Order: sequence, then structure tokens, then C-alpha cells
Amino acid sequence: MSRLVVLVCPQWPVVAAGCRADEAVAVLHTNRVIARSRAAADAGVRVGQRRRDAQARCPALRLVVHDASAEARAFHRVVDTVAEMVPRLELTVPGTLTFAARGPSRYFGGDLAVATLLVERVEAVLGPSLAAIGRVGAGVADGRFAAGVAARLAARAGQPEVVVPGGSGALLADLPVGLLADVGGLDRAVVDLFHRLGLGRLGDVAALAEADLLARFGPVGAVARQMAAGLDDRPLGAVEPAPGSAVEQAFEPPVDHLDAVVFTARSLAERLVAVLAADGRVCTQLAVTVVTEQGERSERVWSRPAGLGVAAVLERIRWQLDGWARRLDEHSAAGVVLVRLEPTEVRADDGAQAGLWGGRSQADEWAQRAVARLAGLVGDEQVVMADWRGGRLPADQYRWVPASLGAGGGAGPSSSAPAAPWVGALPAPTPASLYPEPVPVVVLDRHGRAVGVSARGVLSSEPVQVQAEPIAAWAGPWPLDERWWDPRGARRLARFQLLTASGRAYLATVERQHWWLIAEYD
Amino acid sequence: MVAAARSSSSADTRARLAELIPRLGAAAPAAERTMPMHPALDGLFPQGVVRGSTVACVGAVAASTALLLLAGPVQAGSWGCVVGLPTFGPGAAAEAGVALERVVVVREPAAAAFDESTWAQALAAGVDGFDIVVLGAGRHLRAATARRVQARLQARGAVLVLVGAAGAFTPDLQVTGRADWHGLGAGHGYLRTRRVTLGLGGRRLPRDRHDTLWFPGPSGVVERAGAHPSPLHRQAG
Repeated sequence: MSRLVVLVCPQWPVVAAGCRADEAVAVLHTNRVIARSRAAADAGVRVGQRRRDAQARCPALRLVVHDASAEARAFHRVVDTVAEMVPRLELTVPGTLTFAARGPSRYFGGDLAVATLLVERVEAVLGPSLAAIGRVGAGVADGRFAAGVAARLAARAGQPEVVVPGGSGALLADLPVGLLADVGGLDRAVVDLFHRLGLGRLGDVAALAEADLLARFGPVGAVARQMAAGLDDRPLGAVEPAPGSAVEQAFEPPVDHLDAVVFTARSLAERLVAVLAADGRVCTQLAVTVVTEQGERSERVWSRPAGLGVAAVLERIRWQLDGWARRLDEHSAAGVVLVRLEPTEVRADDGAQAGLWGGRSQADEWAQRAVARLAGLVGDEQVVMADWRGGRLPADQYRWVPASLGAGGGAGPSSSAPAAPWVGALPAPTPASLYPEPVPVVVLDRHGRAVGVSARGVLSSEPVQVQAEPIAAWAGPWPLDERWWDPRGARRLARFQLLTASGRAYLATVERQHWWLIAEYD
Repeated sequence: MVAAARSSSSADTRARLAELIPRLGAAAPAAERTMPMHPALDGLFPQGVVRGSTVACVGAVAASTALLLLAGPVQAGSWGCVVGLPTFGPGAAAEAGVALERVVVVREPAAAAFDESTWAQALAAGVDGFDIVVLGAGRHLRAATARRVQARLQARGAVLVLVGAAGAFTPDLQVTGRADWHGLGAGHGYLRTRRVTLGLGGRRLPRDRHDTLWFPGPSGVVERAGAHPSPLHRQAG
């Protein structure tokens, strides 16, 4: 069990966005608040709130869109400060720093001394921008989750929190189970389920047998128990990779353009991910080392429990270089001579992030951002996804739900294809084009008379012409009498399939003795 | 004498090139630059569709072809976006193999039509966030806007599928289709199967490609007609 120090700058996105001490600011991601300033919190703005609700609570609220790379760049000030005290840092998300307590503790004289010094130095660097969020927290504990929780408690209390060795379980036992999602990054649905099952505190989860949780929830359950008991060291199943799996690229001549380095790093990242994938593994913790021609080094450890795909690796390299390049520019214009990627922790790839072409979660993330952007542009109700609900007419079979509810998983449309055909619907294929408004047409028989359908569903004569175009084949009528008990929703119509001589196939209806084209098979 | 020297130097160059080629190949894997397509389109796009390209679907099966183009990338985990296509039929999309949980549709409100700049911005946002964007033909976009969107497409590595007339866009590839329906008679039967002949042309292709598909076939799936050579009993029309 390793002892870790975690430094947390609460509400980091707000600090990165720049905020005066008394200003109400909220950072939004996919239409929900992910961080808010202290003034906004006083006005009732909460993390997780929808944009509209937040604005209703606090009309003067300044809204900022979440920008992960800007936040990572801004966090580099903190990272650089801490890097002067501790050589090897681990970053998961901007705003949180983790490192092993053992070495620094011995050097600075104890866990508490490290934590106090850490907070002092970081607060000195952040200075006035800190006023909007409160205090920085530093926590020392056994286990990753416990240390993270301790750091959050410390930020709230305003003083470092050091948990005695072996005391992580006792610290966590009385805390709410929701922390597993807030701090531990566990699936919110699972944590909610714990709640509904009566497991309100972390101690309740820790008291269960691991085998039972594993049986009921799968690997997530086992992870949750480890966390709740303060025993999580690294993600479940993670191991150190085989030696020699590091990849590196030397540049000759040195490259002094950031984009060029990232571009080359792409093939490096692809190689790394492909090598690991060949063993069925995915990297969860990665050390990125960059060396300049002047001999300056930047070494950072990046971790991501969901696994690092090519796009995620590149994003981290860019974050690291961005922050570093800014500082280097002040001293020299040295070019980069070496980029080295070394996986420090891998686990079996269980498909949480699939594919070599960028990773599924990355595509989801992009789509989620684009949905938020589109919703802002054209309105939430106009950006939709199809949700199957069944019906006899093609236009009734799907309903449209706002994509902001569904994109990227969560409470979105289930959309699962129907298992069996819908009774009363025409068999597949379904027309590819559904007319938003039915098109009125004239259908004639051999003698040029309008074709009608009687109330009993009997055709007056054979249709041979639709809108002056000969009909090559047709079938129907298939009558439909829907909602006859409801005077306003009642519909009585007969359906036809018409194939014209030019090869175009339509779905037509006769409703109140008029012919309409409602869809085309094109 | 001179000619001999030139030929020996060109042989040298060729040898050096031959040495380089495998290394170049490793640096930029082809799979990274193309998007996987539905297996039924193997005949037309054996290597998938190159990222950044614009594909126009015209002819009698334009809408279905666009859905089939959408199906491949979305099945492979990408997200798709449908813009300016009020006739989009989710049922047919699902039948073509599109995973609808990764398809976002941008609709135009009936009351207030979007102006050109809104469409341009929506399209740009779509290209930025989605790997494949389907655009209906009804929108009139200016040529300058279309050029900008296509430049963004290249930078982002997305694919744009146009349904119907290309309008202001310059398509890299054009799919033309003809349909032949089976199953419908004179007052009986249903539209059951469709034999679709697709032709692919474009400025990047040395010669046009043709392929025949069952869309859908007798078992309800979309497949190349080569896999099912015997046509169904054709109902008298």
C-alpha cells in the first residue's frame, strides 16, 4: 500500500477562467455546471445544475465554456511550483496533483510538514486568483481515493489533512457514498444504486464481501469496495508493464515548433498503443519525458483510469508541452531533441476505450461538445436524436429527444432496434425519406377518374396514374383505424405502396378521400 | 554516355526510394486516413472513404445510399450528424445498419427558418464534432461558405455526405444509383427487395467503379449482389 499526497485546487476551471474575488462565475460543460466560484455558490449555483437553473438562481452569473486544454495550461503554474519540491508528479485532471509521500516526507520532515509547505507555496503562486474559490487542500493518506478525499476535506477545513498510516478505512467509513463518484470517478449510476440499496456510507460498502459485490456489479463493484475500504492503490487489475515497452523519438535537427513535435508524437503514440493492444492491454498511467537541446527536461506522469488511447495521449503531450513551452520561451528558444513515452501502469483492455483510431470515449467527448455547441446555436429542441417507440406509420415509429440529454451516454434514448415487427406496420424496408408534410396528389384509373377507397376499405378501381406518371406496380389498401375512441387523435386512413414506371417507390395514403404521398423509398 | 549516366543515377534514386517506402508507410498507416465503410460498399470503397472527402449521393437511391455511407463509420464507433435533411427517416437508417444512439439530427424549426450564416455555423460545428456529416440538398449555401466547410473537413478528417444536388460544394466522389424493386405486383405483394446499381465516379478515381447491391436483400440485410447471384422470383408487374 503506497502512501500518497494529493493536492486539490477546488473548482479549478473557475480559477483557469480568471475570476475576481466577488464575481459569480460558473464553468459549463454540456449545458451543466461543472465548477462555480464562491460568490456563485452563495447565490445557490451548484455543480451539476443545468445552465437555465443556474441562471435563474443567479442572473448576474458569468458563464464560461469548459476548455480542458486551457485549464491544463493554467495548471502548469502549480505543477511547476510543486515540481521544484518533488521530482515525479502524477496528473489526472487539471486541478489535482498526486505524488508518493515517502521521499518528500523524509526530506521535509514528516507528512504534515510536506502538506503545509505544499499549500503555502501553491497559494503563494496562485495569489489573488485563489480568493474566488477558497483554499487549496492537501491530503496525505494510504490509497489513492482516501488521499483524494482527505485533500477535499482539507480544502474545506482550510488546513492540511494527514491520515495516520492504516487509518484510511476509519476516515472514510462515515462519509457519504456519493464521494465514490465525485472523487473516485466511479459511474454515477452505480453509486446511485448503492444509495437505493441502503448503502449510504462508504463504511457500508466496505463492510460487504468483495465476492458479493463482484457478483452483483462486476468489476465496478470490486473497485468500489477497494476504494471505500481505502485499499485502492491503482486501478483494479493494473500491473507494471513489461520492461522495454517505452517508445522514444529523437529529433535531429531539434524541432522548435510545438505543432511539429505533437505531429511526430502522434506516430509515437500510435506505436505505443498498438504494441500494448497487441497484448490486449491498455495504458492507464504514462510518463512523458521531453528533453531540449539545452538539456532541460520535463517529465510528467499522466494517469487516466479509463485508459489512454492515441488521442488521449496526444492531448496530454500537448498539455505538457504547452505549459512548458510558455516557461521556456522566457529563457531560451531551445528546440526539442527527444520525446519519450513510457507506460508506468497498464491493465487488461476490457473495452472501456476501444479502437486504435482515437478511442471511443474521445469521439463521444467531441460529439458531446458539438451537441452543446449546436444547441447553443439553434436551440436545444432542434438538436435531437431518434428514440424508438413503435408505431404503424414510419413517422410514428421514432420520437425525437433533445440530444443534450443523450449524447455521450447517460439518460439518453435507448434506441434499441425493435426485436419483432410492430403489429399493423408495413414490413421492412422502411422508406428512407419521410416527408415532413404529406404531399397531396391525384391518382387516376384507366378511364381518367379519381380512385377512391370506400369506408369498408374497398378500392373503386385500379390506379394506373399518379400525378400524370404511369404506375408500374402497386399494392393496398392496408386500412388503419387508429385511436377511434379519441375524437381529436382519431385517424382513419388506407395505405398504399406505389411504384412508378420511372422506378420511384412511394408510400401513399388515402385519408378523407384524398391521396397523399407521405414517404418515398429512395 | 550522358544517357547511361542518367539511367544509372535514376536506378540509384529508385533503389533509395525503394528503401524509403516501407518507412514512409509505417509513419502514416492507411487505416488512419480512411473511414471504414459498410461491408456492402466493399466493391465501391475497398479501402474505405478517405477522411476529409466530400461524397455526393445522387439519383433514385440518394437517401438510402447516404444512410448506408453513414452506417459504416457509426457502426465502428464514430458519431454522425444529419443537418438540413428534414426527410431523414430513422427507421430506414436503422435498417441500413446505422446505430442511432450515435446519430444527432439538427432540425430546422417550422416557424423560423435559419439564415445562411446559421446553417454555415451549424455545419461547421457538425464537421468539428462529428466524424461523418450528412447534409441535405435543400440548403442554399454560398460558394465561399462551402469552400470553408470543405477546408475544415480536411483539417478535421471528417467526411461530408451530400444528399441530392451538390450545390455549392465540389464533391470528391459522386455515387449515382439506380433501383430495381421486387415484390410489388398489380394490387398485391409488398416492396420486399431492391437491386441497386451504384456507380462511383470522382476526380480522385482513375476510372468509375460499379457495383450491384441487394438493398435490402431477401433476408432483410444489405449486401453485395455478388454474394447472392440468383435474383428473387420476380413478381409480374
